[in-house]
Amino acid sequence: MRSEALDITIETRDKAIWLFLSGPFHAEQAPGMKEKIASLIEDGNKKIVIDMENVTDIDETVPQMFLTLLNLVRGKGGDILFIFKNETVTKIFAPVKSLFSIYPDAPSLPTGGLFSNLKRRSRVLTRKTGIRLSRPIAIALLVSLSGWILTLFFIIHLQNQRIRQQEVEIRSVTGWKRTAVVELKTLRERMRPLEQLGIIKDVPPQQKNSP
Amino acid sequence: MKRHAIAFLIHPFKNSLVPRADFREAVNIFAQTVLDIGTAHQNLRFNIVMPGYFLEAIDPMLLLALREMHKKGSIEWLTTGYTEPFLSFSPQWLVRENLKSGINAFVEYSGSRPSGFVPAFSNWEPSYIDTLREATIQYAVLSRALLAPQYRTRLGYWVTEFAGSSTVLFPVHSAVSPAFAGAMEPWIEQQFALDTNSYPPVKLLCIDFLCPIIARDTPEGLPQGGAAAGLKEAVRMLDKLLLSYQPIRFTEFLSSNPPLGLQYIPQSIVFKRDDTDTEPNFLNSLHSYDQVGIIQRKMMDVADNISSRKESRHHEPFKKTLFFVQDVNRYIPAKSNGFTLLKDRMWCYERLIDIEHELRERDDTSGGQIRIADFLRNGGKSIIMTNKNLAVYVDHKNGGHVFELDVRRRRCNVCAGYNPSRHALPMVIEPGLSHTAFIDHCIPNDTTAEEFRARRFTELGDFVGGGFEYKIKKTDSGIKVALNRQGSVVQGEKTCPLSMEKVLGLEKENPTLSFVYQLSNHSLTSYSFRLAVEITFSLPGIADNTAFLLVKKEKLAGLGGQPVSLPQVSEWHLADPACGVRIMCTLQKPLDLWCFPAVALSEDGVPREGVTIVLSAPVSLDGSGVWGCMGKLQFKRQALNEKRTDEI
Repeated sequence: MRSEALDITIETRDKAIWLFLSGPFHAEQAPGMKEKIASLIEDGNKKIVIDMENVTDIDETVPQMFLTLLNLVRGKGGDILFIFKNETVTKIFAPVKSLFSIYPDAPSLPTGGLFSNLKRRSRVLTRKTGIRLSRPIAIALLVSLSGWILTLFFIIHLQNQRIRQQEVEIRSVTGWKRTAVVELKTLRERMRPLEQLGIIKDVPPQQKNSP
Repeated sequence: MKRHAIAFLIHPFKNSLVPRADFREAVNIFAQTVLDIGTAHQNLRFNIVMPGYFLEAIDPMLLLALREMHKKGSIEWLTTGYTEPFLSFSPQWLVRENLKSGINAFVEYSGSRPSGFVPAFSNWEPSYIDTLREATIQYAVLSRALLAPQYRTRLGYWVTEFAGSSTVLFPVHSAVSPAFAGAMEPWIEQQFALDTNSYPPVKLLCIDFLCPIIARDTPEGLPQGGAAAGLKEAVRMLDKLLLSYQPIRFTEFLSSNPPLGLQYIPQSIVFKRDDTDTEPNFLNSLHSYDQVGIIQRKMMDVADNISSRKESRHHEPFKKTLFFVQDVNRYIPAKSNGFTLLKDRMWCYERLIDIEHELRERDDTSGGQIRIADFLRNGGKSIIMTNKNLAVYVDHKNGGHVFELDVRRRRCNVCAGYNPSRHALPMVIEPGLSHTAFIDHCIPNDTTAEEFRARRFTELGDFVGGGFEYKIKKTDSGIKVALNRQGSVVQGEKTCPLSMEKVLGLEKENPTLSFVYQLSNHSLTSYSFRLAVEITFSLPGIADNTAFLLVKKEKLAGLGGQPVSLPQVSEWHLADPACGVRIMCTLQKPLDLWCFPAVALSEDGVPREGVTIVLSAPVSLDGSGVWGCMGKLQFKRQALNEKRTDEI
């Protein structure tokens, strides 16, 4: 039947409702589809993503139907995002393109903050590496990793403190050295008349020890 | 004068599911037999056909010896693919992958590419000629039953063509009878005598000698281990005829002799491995079974899911699992194997559910998923609700029945039972032949459990096979499908309007299927009847009496025997340690519970495949009145009574 040609999959991803449509989208299907999406909006779903990449044929009345739904969802503070880049759908949506948020594929969709990015990144890594961590193991790994990092910071902090202490000591020793040099100079100045009178003989220490 | 030729094809096969260890042992015994034959008859040439997974199971030392035989030119390899795919029932890409994997297995284990292709049960699809050419397969070997009767006696090879592509075709006589070896000599003489044509000068008789490697698959009359003995005897007879006829490899004959001509072979299957009794309409007949259709459609659904994803090495294990599910032996009704056996069906579902589960894990979805798709590929839509633990397949066009209910944690479909009642051809899927769940009967108030079991009641409503309108709901708490029908019920002699709303839902990711019934009387007349909701669970534990029903702390075993009728029950458990599932039903208000063994495919000693639970209650509706009932089925895990075997 023409009114049942389109396959629909509805699921939740990143707190948004995703609709995957595939097959021909005839005019007869538009009321049914409108009713389904409207009921999803009534159920409290505000962000709806519609993937039409696998739609093989589309009627001209379909964008109009989506426009009505867009007004409905925007009135409730939500939005409908579209994903497609196939020629058939693009051609039909061309006149009303500026009214809709259309993206060529799923990765081009606006991201939802740091956690969503992290989640997505972890998904990509999982797909690439085939490694999946269960939540308890991930938490255990995170705790041990944080432990290592904290220990490292603590060691750095201790060493920093020690270096500062040594700097202070060096500074005080350098100051004392400068004072000692000045005092020595003063003493030498005082002793010079005595040397000149021959009362004190200034002999270098090496000469003192020589036979 | 040149000697005529005989191409002797040794064809080991395995139809039934066997544990891997037993299979490995059987394949090695077969390989040893081939080596013994090769050593004892060094002047003979053989053709050996094997699925790729057979080679994987052969001991490396035996493989080495087989390689040597191949190098010496004693044997020629042919393949069926990685398994024995049912070409007519599989997606094309999956068959291509199967063949590719089979050839790769040959290259890896035998060190050479197979030269020919032997479709199991001579299941020929002319559209696969291109696939064979791409895979560098030189020829196909089919039963000569596929040729027109006047050509069956011609000895040689043909060229078959379809849509501009052609391939070489060797017609073979399939032999599996234990007596064949004894009567081989006169039979061969007779075959050469029957072909009176002078062209071609050298004639070729092809014999496909089938060897069951598992005792269970051995035909009646052949003792266990008789397959090897039969093979040895046949080869000994062939050796005796060496002076008169030349045993040859297929490619040898192909390189030095012309074809008999061109033959168009349509899509076909030789159901019995014997050329005397073919059933040309077998594929149509196969479509009259529901479960085979559902398994096939589930396989195609999973295959489509995998093919729509980017090629990844992680999908390779899934493909290999699919190769085993597309094996022709799962779709052929037989005594030791096939979809008519609950065990085989459950095995297929287990594999498919496992792949679905793994694929879902890879998608980052949360909560349930609703699909409205032509799952049954019959033009209508099915509603498929899935979450992490359950998958419910609803046919809204036919009474809103649940025709598949997958308990994903245990990888089993608890709605996989057969019903003996047949439906009309040519429908592929129509409830009636399968035991489905949530069949809504409106029956007279005084109907008893025994009368219901014997189907001795008048159906007052039109909800059993009627079409339902549907609405879907997806919220944070779960997913639901609300089925609605403005039907009718017979009251006295009048047909009165009655509206039924049936809501089926899955709660978040929980293994809970909730159901709500609401009957509304839109007329001013009062109605009185009994609503009986029939749910059949196909449980393997019914056959061996391990399944039991638990009602009010009372354990009722032996569900495959006497019917049980319990009034006013609001909670019951149905447990089956054989498949490790415990079904807990909680009802909002007490209903009468009738429980009896599901009707088997035939009554003559066939084990029961499931149990039918009927939840019934008298319904009295005043003018504009409403009656409602709700409940939920929880599918919990139960300890398995024995460890699952790794059958293939």
